[in-house]
Formats: sequence, structure tokens, C-alpha cells
Amino acid sequence: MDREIGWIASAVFLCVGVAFLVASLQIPAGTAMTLGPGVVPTAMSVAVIALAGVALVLDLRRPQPGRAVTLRDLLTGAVPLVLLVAAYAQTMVWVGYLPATVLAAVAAFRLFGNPWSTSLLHGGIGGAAFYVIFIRAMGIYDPPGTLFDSSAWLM
Amino acid sequence: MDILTGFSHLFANPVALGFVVLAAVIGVIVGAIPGLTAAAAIAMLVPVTYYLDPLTALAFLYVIGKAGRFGGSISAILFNTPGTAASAATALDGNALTRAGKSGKALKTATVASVIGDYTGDLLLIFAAVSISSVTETFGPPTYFAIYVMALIVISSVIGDSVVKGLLSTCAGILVALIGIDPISGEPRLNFGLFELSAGVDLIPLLIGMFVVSEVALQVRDARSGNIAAIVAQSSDPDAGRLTWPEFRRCVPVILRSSGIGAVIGMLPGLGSAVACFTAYGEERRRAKESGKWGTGIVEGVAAPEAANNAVSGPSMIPMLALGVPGSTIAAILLGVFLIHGIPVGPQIFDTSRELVYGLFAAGLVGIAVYGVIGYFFAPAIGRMLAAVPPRLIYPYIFLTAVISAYSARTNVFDVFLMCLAGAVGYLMRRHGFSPAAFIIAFVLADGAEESFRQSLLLSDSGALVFLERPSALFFFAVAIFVTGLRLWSKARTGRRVQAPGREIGEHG
Repeated sequence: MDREIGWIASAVFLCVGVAFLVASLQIPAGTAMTLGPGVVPTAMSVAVIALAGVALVLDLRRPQPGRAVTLRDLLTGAVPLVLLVAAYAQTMVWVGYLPATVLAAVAAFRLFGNPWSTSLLHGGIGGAAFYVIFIRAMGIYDPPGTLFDSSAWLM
Repeated sequence: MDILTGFSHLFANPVALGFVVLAAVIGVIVGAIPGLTAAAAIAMLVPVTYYLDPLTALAFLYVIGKAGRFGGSISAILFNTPGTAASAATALDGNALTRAGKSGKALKTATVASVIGDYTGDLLLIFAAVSISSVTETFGPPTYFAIYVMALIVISSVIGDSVVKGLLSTCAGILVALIGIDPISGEPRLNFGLFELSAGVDLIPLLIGMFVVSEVALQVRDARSGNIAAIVAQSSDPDAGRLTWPEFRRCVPVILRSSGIGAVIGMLPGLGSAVACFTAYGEERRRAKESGKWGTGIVEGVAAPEAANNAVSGPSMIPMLALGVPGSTIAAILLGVFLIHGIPVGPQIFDTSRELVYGLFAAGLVGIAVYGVIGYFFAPAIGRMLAAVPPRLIYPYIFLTAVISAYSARTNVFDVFLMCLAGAVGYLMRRHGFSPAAFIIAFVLADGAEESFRQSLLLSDSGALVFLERPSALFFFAVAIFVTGLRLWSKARTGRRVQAPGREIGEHG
């Protein structure tokens, strides 16, 4: 769990470069005099792959002790937060802004180590406050939930 | 004088004036929160500005950037936890003064130095931007392409630990910017079959993900550990809480020289506040008669980096206004806001939107005065407030704000998923020496760079040789090669680059 996986960022870029190269090769490249829409994406994809390859080799050969991310860092910090954001977004699609925000707020306060009482209190008040400020006062569109349309119920 | 027209334009708009004051308050507080930069705050607040007129929107964000630069000094001085990378230099003497019971003196010194530095930078901006624009107006597509290439290469080679990772961050930003519609033919490309990507990736969710979500992810473990530790110390010195007149007189030459350093560095794309601060600190320490006292708690040690830090703010707008090329993250965000409000940016802006530009300059000058008053009289109270509220209560609210800001950019939940992905990538980038700042700047510049490249080839009979036929284009290519060569030589000579602790250079903008 504490093993450093400092090469992971370069590996991600390498994969991104390959995916973009595959997509770029399907776009017409045009001619030497009139470049098509595929030339620049292909060139950039090749550049990303080449640079990511070099960065990956450097990361594997010269790891930076103490600075690189470990599996524990990912699993206790970044991954829960990223999953929370994704779950928040999907919940918003299912039930609308207010319920999704209250649930996500409670989860966020818990993720940051607050006790249940604090998390429920701040989650409820914070979620409601955000709904009032951003949806009601600023008029941002409240997405109608596909499972439960809270926006219609609140109106 | 045009700046007077700018003031009248600003004062004729009470809403804009009100937002300038609000921006100063927000900027100081956000800048004081460790880990949260002014660029992150601006990214979250951009959607708020959709409902405002262009002057109010731009003035609001511009002043947040200025006040945020100053705000980082509060946590650096009081808690030895710099709010920004640039403030790490301020912490050296600032926190030492706090430990000696002289936090009030340190905060007032920081405020005065920041205000003078910021005004110096803004004067350079006001007079230099127009002069440079009158030259750059005559540039055609080949020269503009050369300018874009210069900016991208310079930024990627000076930001961060590694030139390879800087270049990779830049190329990745360009690649993501290519998603959507080809600017010449109008054909869709690289949308991976997703309808939501047919118009391209929006800047705001990308920005919020890279800077805000990644920061919140970095803070998840640290914020659980408790409050920011407040240092309580007393001093028998009756002047412990004020900056005396003899001390101010000693600081004036330091502040003026450091302001000059910050202003020059601010004009150069990619270098940013942290480079300016440490350069100014190092230079003043070298010149000092008693250099051994630096770092032990002297007011000059606070004045130098703070003056340089804030002097960067105005000149960092020069490349954007004169060339249409943002040289910092904050300038890149402001460029996006200009475009959102339908205002094309480049040297022609002084002809098409002169009143707006000078109104923005005037707003900056007013904003400096406002944050100066806030800092001089209320900085200790802001520090006490931050010490009283634990980070584990602050960051969840920042998380909620980030999500609604990303959603409101296009009222599309897909943008929240995009923000999530950008946050994950931004987290990995920041942990491994890559540069989210270079990525974002490249993302903003990519469309213009590709368009000017392909326009140059279309308009020319000599193909790619058109770039070699224009002396102005050759000049900018030469600058790019020179700066990169200098960086590589410097890196090879010293072995490794000394970097400001905590945050990457250039991130603050």
C-alpha cells in the first residue's frame, strides 16, 4: 500500500496519447498544401506519446522518494473524492440538485473527518443554502431528476 | 488621459464598483486559506460573472487575483503555512516576526509593500500595453503563430521541475483543446462518439477540476488532522503592532527595487509570482549590509517578496492584451471571460474596447486601495478567523462550490463528470511534477495557434517557408529557442532547479 507508483501520471498520459492517435488517424489529413483537420491532432498525439514515453522511463529509472504518490495516498485521498464527485453528478441526474447536494455534502463532511452530527448539520444546512443561493437566487437550472423530479416538487 | 476615462466609466457603474470591493474581500480571504489560490477562486467564480456586464465581470475576477496574491501573506506570516507558493518567501521573515510577538508589524509591512508593488506593476501595465499593442497590431497569421509557439515553449520549459514534463503538460493541453470542431473546415473531430463533446471541452469545468478538485483531493488527508496552529507570542516592544516611520524609510528602496523585479518578471510568460518573490528576496539579501539578519525576522525580509509578488499582477496582463497570449493562469482565465462576453482579445482591443480596458485598469487601481485598507486594519482578524475554523469544515464547502460552478458553466451535468476527470488528472499531475498551469494555458492558446498556422499555409504560396520569410516570426522563434536553451543549460549546470516549496511555480499566476 505504501509502494510508490510515481510512474502512474506518465502512464496515464501515454494511454491518453494512444487513444487520441487512434481517433486522429480516422480524421482526413488533407494534402501538403491544404492541411486537413487530422494533421494537428495526429502530430500532437505523437508528441504526447513520445514525451510520455520519455517521462515514464525517467520516472521508472529515477523515482523521487517521498514525493511520488502511493497506493495508500490514492485510496485514502484522491479516489474517494473523485468517486464522490461522480456519485454526486449521477445522483443529480437521478433526483435533482437539492437532494443530491444534501447527500453529497454529508458525505464530503464525513470524508474530511467530521463527526456524524457535524456532517449531518452542515450537510443539511449547507445543501439548503446552496440551493437557495444558486438555484433560486441566481436562477441556475435545476435538472429534473429522472427517477424523482425534486425540482417540480420544490416549485 | 485614457485612464481618467476608465475611472469615469468605472464610477458610472456602481455595480462594478461594488463588485470590486467584494472582490477585494473575497480575494484576501481566499488567498489566506492555505492551498487555495486566487486562480482556483477565480475559476469557481467565473460562472457567477455570466450574469454581469463585461466590466463588472472582468473587474471582479481581476481584483480577486490581486487581493489573493496579498492574502497569501496572512497565513504565511501568522501560521507559517503560505497560502500561495509566492508567499513562502514572506514566511521566512514574516513568521519569525510573529514568533517574536510582532505579527502586527509583519502584516502591516506586507500590506504596504504589496500596495506599492501592485501600483508599480499597474503603472507599467497602463503605459506599456498600449505602446506594445501599436507594434503588434501589424502582425499577420505567421507572426501570431510564432508568438503562440514562443509562449507555449517558454511556458512549458520554465514552469516546473522538468522540461519534458512541462512540454508534455503543454502538448496534452493542446490535444484536449482540439476536441470538438475543426476551426477551418467546421468538421467534428476527436469527440469519441460523445454528443456532449461535439462543441469541445469547456474551459471552466477543466479549470475547476485541475485547480480546485485536485487541491481538495490533496487536502483530504491533511485537513483531517486538525486546525491551523495559531502562534501566540507577546512582545514588550511598544511598536510590535505597527510599522514605524524609520522602518518604512528603510523599506522604501527595498520595495521599489523589488517592485521593479516583479514587474519585469511579470511581463514574461510563465514565470509568475513565486519566481519574482524569491528573486527579489535573494537580490535584496545579497545587497544588504547585514545579510545574516535576513530570515531572523526583519521587516525588509517581508517587504521585498511582497512587493515583488504583487508587482507581477499588472504586467502579467501585458502579453494577453498586447499579443492575445496569456502568460499566466489568471490571464488565461480572464482571456476566457473576455471571449465569453464576446470581446476578442489582442492588440486590436485598444481600438474596439478601449473604454472597457481602461475601466478594467481603473478597477485594478481601486481594488489595490481596497485590499490595502482591509489588510492594514483587518488582517489580524482574518488570521484569527482562519485559525478558528478548521480546514475540515472549509474544504467541503469549497467542494460544493466547485461542483455547482462546473455545472452552471453550461447547465450540463456532463461538465461535472468532466470536472471529476480533470480533478483526477490534475491530482496526479501536481503530485508528479507536471504542470496544470501549462496545461490550461496551452488549452486556451491551442485554437488560436492552430488557426493561425493553417491560415498562414492557406494564404501563402511558399508553404511552411512562410514562417521563415517574416523577420518578426523569426524573432519570436529565436526567443523560444533561446529561452529553452538557457533553461536546459542552467539545469545541466546546476544539476537540479531550486523550487519554491509546497506549490509549483506559475500556478498562482
